[in-house]
Amino acid sequence: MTSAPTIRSAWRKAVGAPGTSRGSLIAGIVILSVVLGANIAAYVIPPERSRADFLYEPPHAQWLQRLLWTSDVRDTVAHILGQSGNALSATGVFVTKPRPTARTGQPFEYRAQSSLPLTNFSLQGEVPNGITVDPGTGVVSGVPTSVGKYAVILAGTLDADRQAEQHFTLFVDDRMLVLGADGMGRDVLGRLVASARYTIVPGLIAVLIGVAGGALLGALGGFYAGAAGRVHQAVTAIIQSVPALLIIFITGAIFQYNAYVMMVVVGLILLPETANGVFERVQSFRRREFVEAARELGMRDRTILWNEIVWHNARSFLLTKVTQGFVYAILVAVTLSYLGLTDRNLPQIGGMLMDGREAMINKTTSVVAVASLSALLLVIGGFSLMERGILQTWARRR
Amino acid sequence: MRAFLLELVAIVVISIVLVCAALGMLPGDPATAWPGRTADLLTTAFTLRFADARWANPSAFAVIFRAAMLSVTIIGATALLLVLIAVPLGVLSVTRSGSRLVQSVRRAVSAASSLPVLVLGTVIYVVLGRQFGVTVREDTSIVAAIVAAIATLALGDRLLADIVQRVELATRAVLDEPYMRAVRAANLGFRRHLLQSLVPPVAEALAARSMFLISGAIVAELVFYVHGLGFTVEHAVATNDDPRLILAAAMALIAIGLCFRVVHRGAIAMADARRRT
Repeated sequence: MTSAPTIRSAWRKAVGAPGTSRGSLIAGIVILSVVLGANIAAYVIPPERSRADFLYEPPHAQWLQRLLWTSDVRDTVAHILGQSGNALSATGVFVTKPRPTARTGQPFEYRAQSSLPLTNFSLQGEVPNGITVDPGTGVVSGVPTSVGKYAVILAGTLDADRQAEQHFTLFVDDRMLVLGADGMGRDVLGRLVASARYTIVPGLIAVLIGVAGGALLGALGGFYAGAAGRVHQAVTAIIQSVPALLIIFITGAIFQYNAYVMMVVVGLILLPETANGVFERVQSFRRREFVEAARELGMRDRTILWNEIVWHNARSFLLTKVTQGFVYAILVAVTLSYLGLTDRNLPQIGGMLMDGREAMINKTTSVVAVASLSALLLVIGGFSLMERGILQTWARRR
Repeated sequence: MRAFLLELVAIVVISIVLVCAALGMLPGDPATAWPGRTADLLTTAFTLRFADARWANPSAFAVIFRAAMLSVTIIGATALLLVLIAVPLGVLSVTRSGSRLVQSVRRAVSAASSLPVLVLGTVIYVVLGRQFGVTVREDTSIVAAIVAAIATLALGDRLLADIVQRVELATRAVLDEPYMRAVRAANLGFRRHLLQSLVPPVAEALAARSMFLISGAIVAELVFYVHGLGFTVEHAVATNDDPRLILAAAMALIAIGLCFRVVHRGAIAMADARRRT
């Protein structure tokens, strides 16, 4: 009972209370390290690994699905066959649904229950090796031995003339999956790790262009005015005159939504806001006494601009823009894949979110939507926490 | 005033040139996208037709007009909703800073606002579908889709939190004025003057975030299948439709942005005589 407060106090001592600069900074660094690790793994692990056709769903994934009121079965149909062989509509004869996945070497069990008294159960269609049914109770069980995707039919006799059937697909895999499988039997965690490919590196391109380019444009324009100032004004006015998403859609159509080209465009979209912010700050400082004094002391303009004005007066703003730039770049990538504009076969958070939301509405599986949404919020939260931590640390040092 | 009009004209010209240049690079017939040929749009607006079957091949004018009306409804209603929520909440969180209810609402607004429109829209979409049985699809009620889009846009992308913050700052500044302290001490009505003082900061906040509002509206339209301008442009681009149609829809979207600038200037001019020029 005393372990929770002890852990909490130890955590507070080591990391700091939640909301403090140290706590935020460390939490942000931990989250972003995980994202970075996933990013590296996404480049190291072969993509086939995250595109497996059929995979296993562990018990805790089923627990999560029960918690979120979802069933975990696909294409289940129940009907009663008449004497003539015509299917009579009788959806709901079977009140239970089997889980869609099994693992080789591990026991599988499905206790079928029906609303009508059924006897003489049998398995038809494609039955995995090692799986059998008890004719009296309808319990499907066994240890599957071969990997594959099986269209199984569980049949039960109602009376001499009629038979009820439940059709379901069973994916048998030989690997353990931590977060289970999506509607197509693909590894959710593997796809999440692979989707990290579209976070840090593309975001870095956008931030380099948007923040570094914007800082350069704004600083030169604000400090030297004249032609540099006019260039700054013209560039920012041109980019800001068209809505950002419109530019993204049109350039995306031109370049087939190539992730890296899109990030160059995102960088250009981020550029005006950064440039304007730096411009205003530099312009307000360039005629101050300390600048004149530094010039009198023989300091070069370049040193005064970057070391004295930008670093001391615009670094917090630039840091905010860096984190905002990463988040915006990730959200653009997510939005494009969510809308199906990029290759839907590639593992991307947006595509997973879209598939997951439809699966949740259809009450098949919640794991995909919950996992992809959590991953997205975690990444955004990581950047936000790190920004907060650094800003608070800088403010405290001042 | 002249400088403002010049700015508007410059934005329109730059937008047309930029969009046309981009459209010229799209797959298809680039000749149709050049600025010289855009004049055709005016003469053929009633005869040009979208190629996409989803619009049952109606005239471009009808599609763009309907889409513009939907987008204006969403953006306008969101702006109105933002003002209606943010102003009372911002004022109350300053004047009733001790109220637990006000502070709780303020915190809830900040938390909801931190979510991007895409995430919030997806959550609302799923909740509507699962808990209330309202599945927003292309063929279902447009009213449900528009209401969901407005709610998503108003709550997401930090728009509401930003405006509430600006209202709080402005309220504190106004209430700190000596004459206002005297008025409050004498227990005289001060709300009318306070609300008048809040017009410039709220207008500034809305104008500053107008591009985010428009981008957010595009995302919300796509999430909830509202056939607004954003949806029209995205599908026209994705289906490689006639560039002139994309240009027309894009210009309608840019025009909404310009309207924001005009309304912003007008609101400030009405509220603050010093900035009327």
